Amino acid sequence: MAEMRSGRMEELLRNFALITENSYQRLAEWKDHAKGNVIGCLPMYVPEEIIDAAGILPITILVEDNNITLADYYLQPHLCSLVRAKFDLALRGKLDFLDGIVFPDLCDLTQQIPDIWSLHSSVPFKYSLCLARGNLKLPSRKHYLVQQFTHFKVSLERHFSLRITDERLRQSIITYNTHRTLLQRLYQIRRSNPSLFHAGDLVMVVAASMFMPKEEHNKLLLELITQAEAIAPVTDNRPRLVLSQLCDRPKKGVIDLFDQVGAVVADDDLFTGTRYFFKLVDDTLNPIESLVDRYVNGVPCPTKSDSNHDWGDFLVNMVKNANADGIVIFLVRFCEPLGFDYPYLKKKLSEARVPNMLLETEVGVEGHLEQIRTKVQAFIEMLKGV
Amino acid sequence: MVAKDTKPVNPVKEKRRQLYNSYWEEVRNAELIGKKFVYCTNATPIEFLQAMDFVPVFPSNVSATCSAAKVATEMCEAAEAEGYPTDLCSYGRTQIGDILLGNKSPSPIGPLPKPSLLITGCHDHIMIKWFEQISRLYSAPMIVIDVPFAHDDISQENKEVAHKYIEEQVWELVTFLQDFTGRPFNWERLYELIGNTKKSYQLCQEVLDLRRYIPSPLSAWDLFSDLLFPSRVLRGWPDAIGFYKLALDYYTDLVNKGIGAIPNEKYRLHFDGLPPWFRMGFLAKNLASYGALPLSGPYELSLHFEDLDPSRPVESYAATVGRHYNLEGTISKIDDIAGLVSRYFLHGQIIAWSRTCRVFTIGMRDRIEILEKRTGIPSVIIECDTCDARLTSDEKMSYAIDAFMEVLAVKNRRRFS
Repeated sequence: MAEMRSGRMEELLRNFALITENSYQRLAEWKDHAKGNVIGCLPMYVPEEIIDAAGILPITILVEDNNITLADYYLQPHLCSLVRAKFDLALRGKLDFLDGIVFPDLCDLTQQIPDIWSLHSSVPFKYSLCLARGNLKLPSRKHYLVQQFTHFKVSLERHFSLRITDERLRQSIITYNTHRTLLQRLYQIRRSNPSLFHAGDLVMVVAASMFMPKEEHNKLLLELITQAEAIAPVTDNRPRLVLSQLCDRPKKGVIDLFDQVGAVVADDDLFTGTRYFFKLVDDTLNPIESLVDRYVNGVPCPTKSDSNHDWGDFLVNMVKNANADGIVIFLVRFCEPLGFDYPYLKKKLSEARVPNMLLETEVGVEGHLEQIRTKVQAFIEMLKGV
Repeated sequence: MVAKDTKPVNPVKEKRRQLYNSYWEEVRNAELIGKKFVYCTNATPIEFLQAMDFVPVFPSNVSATCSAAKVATEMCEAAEAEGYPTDLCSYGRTQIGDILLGNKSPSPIGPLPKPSLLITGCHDHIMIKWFEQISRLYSAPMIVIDVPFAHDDISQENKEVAHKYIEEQVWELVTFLQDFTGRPFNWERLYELIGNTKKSYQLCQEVLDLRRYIPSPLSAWDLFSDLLFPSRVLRGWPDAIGFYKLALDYYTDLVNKGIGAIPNEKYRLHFDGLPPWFRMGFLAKNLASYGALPLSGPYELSLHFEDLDPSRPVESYAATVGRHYNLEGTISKIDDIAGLVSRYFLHGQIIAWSRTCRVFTIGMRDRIEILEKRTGIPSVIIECDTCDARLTSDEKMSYAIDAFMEVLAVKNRRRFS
C-alpha cells in the first residue's frame, strides 16, 4: 500500500536509496569536491561525534556488494563474511579515499582485524577502539571507556593537527541527537502506519545517514517525515514484523522477500535501524562521559555481555510496542556473539509467545536465497494462520 | 647424542594422572561439604578465589577430556538440538551439551558441580559468550576480567591505561568476593598461593627448556597432555611444585642418556592452534613415522607467570593477565613463534586450522608468510576441529602432512646429505 505515498516522498526515498549505492565512489568524489577529510568506522559503537567535532566526516563502512574476491586469501571462509567483505573492499582499493579507519573490538575477529588490515592496506590514520564488556555498571568500565574515548580524541587531534574543544563536541552531540530524534519520529510513523513503507525503505534511510553529513541527512529526513505524517494510517491485515540484525544491513534480496510474501515491517532492531539511533546523548554533562554513558546504558547487545541490559526483554518489548506478530532474526553465518545468545533469545521470545524465526545469511553466497524465500513464506503463512 | 629405541616408563605421566585424579577427588569432596565452586578459565585470577575457599573448575578441560574420550561430538549435537549453530566453538558446544544432557552425558568426568560464580578473562570473546550461557543456565553471577587487546601499534600510553584498567578490575573482584562471602579477604593465603603458582611455573619453564637438547626429551604432546596441566589448572597447589621437580629429574635423565621423545628425531616443529584431541594419537604416530616431532604449542605462550609477585599481588596479576598470546597483534604473535624457532631449533610449523576455533586461526596466512620470510621455516595447515569429529578427516590431515614432509625433506636435504 506504499502507493499512497506522494511523488515527493517517492523521490526522497529514491534519493536515500541512491546514496547507499556506489557509496564509496560517491564519497571519494564528495571528498575531492569538498576538500574535507573522511574517516571510516567499522560497526558498531564508534562515538562518531568525536570525529564530527574534528570537522571530519565520519562514515560507516558497510558491505557494498556481494563480492569477496581477495580477502579470502588472508581470512579463512569460516570467519564472518561481513568483516571479510569489508576487508575485501580495502584490498580492492575501494576505501583508498579514506583518511582513517576506526576499528571497534566487538568479537574475536574485529579485535584482530586492525593488525591484519594494516599489513595489506595502508591507512593514514588507524585507531583500534577497545570497548569494555562484562558488567558495564562497574566503575572500572566507565573509567576505562572515558580514557579510551579521550585517547581517541587526542589521537585525532595529534594526527590531523587540530583541537576538538568541548564546545565543538557538544555541538556535534546536539546535531547527532537531532538526527536520532528525527529517526525516532520516522520510526514512530512506521509503527503507526507500516503499510506506508516497503520492508527495505527505512534501512536505506538509516544507511544513507551513514554515508553523508548528518546536517544534510537531517534536512532530507525532516522533509520525509513531513510527507509521511501527512498520510493518514490505513488498516492493513498483513502480518507485522520486527527484524533484527547486528553489524550491517540485511541483504537487499532477502529484505525484499518480506514485501513479496505479503508482510510489513513494523519496527526493527537492525544496526541500520533502531540500534544506530537508540538513546540520545546527554548534552548537558561532560561530553566524553555522556558518550560513554550512551555505550554503557545504550542498546543491549551480545557483544557487550552485560547482564544489566537483557536483549531478550528488549526484543519482546519491541515486538509488543510495535504490535507486531513476530520477529525475524538475521544471523550472519559464523557470528559467535549472536550464535551463542540465540537459544536464550529464542527461549525468551517463545516464553513471551512471540513467533520467531532465525534466518542465516552470508555475504558472497547467493544460492540459498530460494531456501530463505521458502522459510519466510512458511513463517508468514504460519502468522496468517493459513 | 644418539637417540635410543627404548625409553624407561614415564613416571611424569603417572604423577600427572594422580594429580588429575586428586584434583577431581578434591572437587567431589568439596561438593559433599558444601564448598562453593567457581568456573574459571586459565586467564582467571584463580588464586584470589582459592584464597576465599572457592574451588576452581575449568569447563574447557571438560571439553578437551570429552574430545580425547571421543564423546564430544554427541555432546555438540545436544547443544545444536537446543539451537546453538553448528559453526560455534566446539569447546563451548561440548560443555553446554554436557549440561543439557545431564545424567545422560557420556562425559568420563561425570556431571560438574554447579557453579556459585563464573569468572572469565577476555583472552577469547567466545569464552565470555560460553560462560554467559552457563551463567544463565545456573543463574550464577558472571564476572569478566576484561583485558584490552595489545595491538601491534599500541602506544605506551594505552598500555598503561590497559594495565590500570585490569588492576582496577582485580580490586573490584576482591571487593566482590568479600561481599559475596561476607568475610574479609584472606591476603596471607593469597601470598602463599601466588608464591606456589610462581614456583611451579618457574620449574615448568625449566622442564620446557630441556627442549633445547637434540633429541628433545619431550614433545608438544607431552606439554598438551601432562606438562602444562599442573601449572595452569593446579595453580597454587604445592603438589604442582613436586610434580615439576619430578619432571625435571626425569627429563634431565633422558637428556643425559641421549633419549629423545621419538626414536629418530629429524624435524622439530611448532604446533600452532588447538589440536583435535580425539586424533592426537593418530597425528603423533603419523608425524613420528617421518621423524617429525612437534615440540612447542600455543599454550606455553598464553600466560607468563614469571612477573607474579606475591608482595604485589594485584598489580603483578594485572601485568600477568595483560600479557596473553591471544590478545597480541599479528606481528607480536610472529615474534613469539620466531622466538621458539630460534630457541628450540625448529624446522617447521603445523597449524591446526580448527574449524570452529577462530581465535587461534585468525591471521594464520600472514603468520605463515611472515614467519617464513623471517626465519625460513615453512608451515602447513591441517584442517580439523578440536572436538567435533564431523569436521575432521584423517585423510585430509594425512595428505597435508605427507606433502609437508616432502617440503621439509627438500628444505633440509643438505642437513641430512
